[in-house]
Amino acid sequence: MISIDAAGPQLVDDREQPDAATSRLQVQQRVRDAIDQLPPLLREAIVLRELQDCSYTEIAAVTQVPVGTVMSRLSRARARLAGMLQDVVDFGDVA
Amino acid sequence: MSELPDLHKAMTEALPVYEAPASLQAWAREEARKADQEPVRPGESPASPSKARVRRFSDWRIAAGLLVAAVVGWSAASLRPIGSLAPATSATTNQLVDAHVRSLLPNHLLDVVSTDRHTVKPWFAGKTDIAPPVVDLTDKGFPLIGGRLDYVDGHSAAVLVYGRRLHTINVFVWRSGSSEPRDGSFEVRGHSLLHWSNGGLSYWAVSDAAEPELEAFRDAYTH
Repeated sequence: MISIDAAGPQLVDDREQPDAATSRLQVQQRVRDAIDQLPPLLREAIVLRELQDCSYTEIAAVTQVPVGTVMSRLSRARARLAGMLQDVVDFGDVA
Repeated sequence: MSELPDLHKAMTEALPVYEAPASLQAWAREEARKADQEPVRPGESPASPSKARVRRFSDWRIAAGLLVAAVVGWSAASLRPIGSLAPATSATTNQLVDAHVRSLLPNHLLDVVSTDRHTVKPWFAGKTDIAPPVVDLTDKGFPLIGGRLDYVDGHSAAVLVYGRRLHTINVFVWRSGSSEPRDGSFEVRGHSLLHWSNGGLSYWAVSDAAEPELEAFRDAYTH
């Protein structure tokens, strides 16, 4: 048995609140769904860029397309994602 | 200033990231460096690969495919178990992982501490309306640690707790409902989940042990 007075700060629950956790999980699900809806070539480019931190040149080397095509695919991928996620993700000037 | 996450942060939080092997990363960066340094021939776009380079690329086309598959193949493999989950199933798996993590906090894991299945099974009687099979799997590398009651996703669950070396396996058991998700394995926030149904009961094994370990556990438990 622990006295409430003795427990003091230990009783403070600093974990994420349920409503915040639910909101966060919903956003994550929407991001996954949006990525899943991208055409494969656009998805390939945006995943290499944003998740793998590949440079344009690296993406071009891996996917065997010119850098200009990489930039075009990334731009189109971001535009499509912005259309689906602009209320939950900051796209800067893209949206 | 926007409080919304940027795309990089949003994707990093939402999607699993699998690192390509260091050798493959080094190769990709080296090829990119070579491409950057290759002189531009008259009439050729600086960004497009020359025919000679295309021939050279063909030597590592398979490796390129492997790298793309490694980092982009999430849609078909790594993310699919989560990305294609029905929202209700996704909520269930998330709550199961939350319950599993909560159980690992001090003094949360067990209501009945026993390695004896003849102690654990009767303990559930009167506390829950199901009688989950309690199997001694010590000789198969999954010692019984005990059990507890939990409440997950609207279900009163009997939870069997097994060990696997330094890992804990929580097996949540409740009566099967009309909208049971498909049997299979899932991964949520680095935790493995394995779901199966049998005899009118729904089973969810959750652990930070690898998926093959959970499958070995299921095989041992169900046979």
